[in-house]
Parts: sequence; C-alpha cells; structure tokens
Amino acid sequence: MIKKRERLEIIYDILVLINNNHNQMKPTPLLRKSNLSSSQFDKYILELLEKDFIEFSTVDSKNYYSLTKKGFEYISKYKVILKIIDDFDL
Amino acid sequence: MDPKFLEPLFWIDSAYTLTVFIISILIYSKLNNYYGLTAYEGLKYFKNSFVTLIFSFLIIYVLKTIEIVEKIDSLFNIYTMIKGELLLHSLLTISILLFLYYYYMAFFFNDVKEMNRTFYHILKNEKIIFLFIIVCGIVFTPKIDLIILSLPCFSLYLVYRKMKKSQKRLNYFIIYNLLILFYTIDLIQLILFSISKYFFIDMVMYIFQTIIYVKIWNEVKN
Repeated sequence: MIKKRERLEIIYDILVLINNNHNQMKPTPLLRKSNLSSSQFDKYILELLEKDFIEFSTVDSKNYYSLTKKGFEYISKYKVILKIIDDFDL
Repeated sequence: MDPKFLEPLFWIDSAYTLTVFIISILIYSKLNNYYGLTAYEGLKYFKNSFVTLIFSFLIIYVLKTIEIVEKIDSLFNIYTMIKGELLLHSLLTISILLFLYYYYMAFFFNDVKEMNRTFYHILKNEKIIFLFIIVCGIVFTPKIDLIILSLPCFSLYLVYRKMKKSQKRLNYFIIYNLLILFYTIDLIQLILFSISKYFFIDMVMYIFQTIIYVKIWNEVKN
C-alpha cells in the first residue's frame, strides 16, 4: 500500500512544507526538508507547477514557491482521498 | 396514458433507475474531482466503472420497460429480435464488458503493472480497449448469458485473490462487489426469466442495491 500512495504522499508533504512556512518557501530549503533527491525534487516540482498546485514568484530578487487555490484544496482533501483509496483498496 | 405504464413494476423500476442514476452521477462527480487533484490511476478506473454502471442500468431499464409494455416472455431470443432490440442487446453486452474492464483495472492495475509491463500498457490504452470491447460486444451478443455468468465468477475470483493478498479488512471492496452481485442477478433475471413474476425479489434487490449505493456515496462524499 505504501508504494501505491507514495506519489500522493510526497506531493502532500511538499505542499504542507510550503503551507507551514507561511505559504512562501525558497527552493533550496524546500529541497532539503522534502528529503528527496535533486532529480526527484525537480520532477515533483515540475508536476506541481504544471498542475497548478504551486506557483513560482520572485520577491526582492529571491525565488519562492507558494500554494495556489488548487494546492490548498489538495491539502484539505488529501486525507479523504487517501481513505477512499485505502478503504476500497484501489 | 397506456394502462401498462400504470403497472406498479414500471413505476418502481423508474424510481429505482432514477435513484441509481442520481447517486452514480454524484459518486462520479466526487471521484472525478479527486482524480483531477491526484491523477491517481485507480481513481480514474473506479470513477469510470460508475459511468458504465449508469449506462448499463439505463439499458436494463429500457429493456424492462419494453418487456412490460409488450408483454413478451423473453426479449432475448436473438433470432426473432427486431433491429432496435438487437442494438440494445449489443449495447448491454458492451456495457458489461466495459464495466468488467474498469472494475479489473481499478483494483488490479498495480498488479498488472508489476506482472507484465507490455500487457499493462496495452490495457492502459483505453482507445484500443474500447475498440476491442465494441467488436467483442457485437460478436458475443448472441452469447450474452455467458458474459453475464462470467461477471460473478470473475468477481468472485478477484475478491478471493484480493482477500488472500491483503492483510486488512476490505469492507468497502466487499460492499462494491455486493453491488456487482445484485447487478448480475438483475441481468440474469432480465435475460433468463419473465420479470413480472418476480415482483417481491425485485423489490428486495432494489432496496439492497440502493442501500449499497448510498453507503458508497457516504464514503465518497466525506
């Protein structure tokens, strides 16, 4: 089961990290705290940007990631979705 | 109004089909929303299984209505069917096969992926599968009874396999399979028996099926 949920959990963890950091996080601390390899991190960040879960912004020449509305929705529905996947064993 | 449309069975069938239709749409839209967020493959197949069920229940309803109105003992004598009925019959076969596909993929896509990558990529390609199922649906229409009987056998085998592998209680998986069981009974009743003689069985089945649908909806909507 862990294997099946792995991707969803990693996405959730990244989003929660950004959210817990006042919804603004620099790429380097995010990579460090996510416990992912650099290539894995890039893959997930690209997916999150493509799916409009996070957005990239530059404030005072510093780069930040922040959650979008869809990103917040994912966090709020994550546990429900996981429960459905677990309960039906999808 | 034609007096045949005033028969209680017609109204019960109509109410039941409408209920199933509405609940399935609700379940589908919720699952679609979750799939939109996660792109989780299992959710995609699971939500689509409800669409095929709606499709199937609507065809069953139309066939039952024809049976009530025309008072035909069996619609399923393939050699005496008129063109419209034959088309409905083929659509029903296609919907059953489509359901089997989504059902299998929803619960076992990971197993297939681990077992055989090539087979998984073929199964994942919905366009090829649709085409294959449409051809099979047309070819196997005269053998619809065999396809219907394969449904519970296939499901029983998969339940057994899943229960053997899984270390936790799979209550909702079993509930979903109960839905398949009732769906199969509905199909068998429609195809092998004259429906009007089994009013009581119909009622009991409809109540159980509605309870199962509501239970699934309760789980999904939270």
